[in-house]
Amino acid sequence: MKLGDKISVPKSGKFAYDFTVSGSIADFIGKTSEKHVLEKNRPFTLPPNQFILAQTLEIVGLPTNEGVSHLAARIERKSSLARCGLLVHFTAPTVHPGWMGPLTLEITNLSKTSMNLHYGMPIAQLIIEEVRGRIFENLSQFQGQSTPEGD
Amino acid sequence: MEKWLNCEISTGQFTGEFAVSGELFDNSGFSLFAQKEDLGFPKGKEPDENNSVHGTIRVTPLETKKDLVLVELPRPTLENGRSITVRTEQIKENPK
Repeated sequence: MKLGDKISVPKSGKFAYDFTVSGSIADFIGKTSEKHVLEKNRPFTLPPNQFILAQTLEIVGLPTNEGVSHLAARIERKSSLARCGLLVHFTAPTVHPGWMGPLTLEITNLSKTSMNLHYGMPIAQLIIEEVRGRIFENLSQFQGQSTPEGD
Repeated sequence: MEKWLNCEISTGQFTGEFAVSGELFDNSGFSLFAQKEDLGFPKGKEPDENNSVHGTIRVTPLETKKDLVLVELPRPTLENGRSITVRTEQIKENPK
């Protein structure tokens, strides 16, 4: 998979992420991120120990059609980049059936030197797997409950 | 069958992506990042760095009971999963 043109750099500041404060997390993360757009001949230079988010150039679609076997996928690193200390994901590699969109990459430079990230450069690989049996959908919150509120 | 859920839209982490926040049936909050094509903007006006907008997000109703409806969002919430329960009054037929 190739690197897309969208980069997001977390800002630093006197704040802390609080993931228990429901309803405003995405807004807060959005406001504390700097958006960059890569241009073809102008790479983004990632300093040592810096973490950014990026997106793949490709859009991945894993449709779930009734009666057809389903597909899931995993993002995996490229060994050539890993050897130099470039991590492209460190958690949540699974792309679930039903996903449609570009994939978000959690990029970290673990080396002692800066790295240039170019739009369109090979950045990751996608392992596609067949899902057998029925896909587990979220159980209805109303199942087995006697009140509309879900009790 | 798609419907649209009232929400607050602000800028996301990437261009073309937006941060969405809204209310569950019990007035607690949810938030997620969504793509532009899954959102409805009032009079086509998008949020900027300093201002959010009241808009809608595309949802798929899964189950209805009295005045509550379980809907599926286009992406998982940051709090917990992709399905949420809202009040039927929060749902609209079209994005505007």
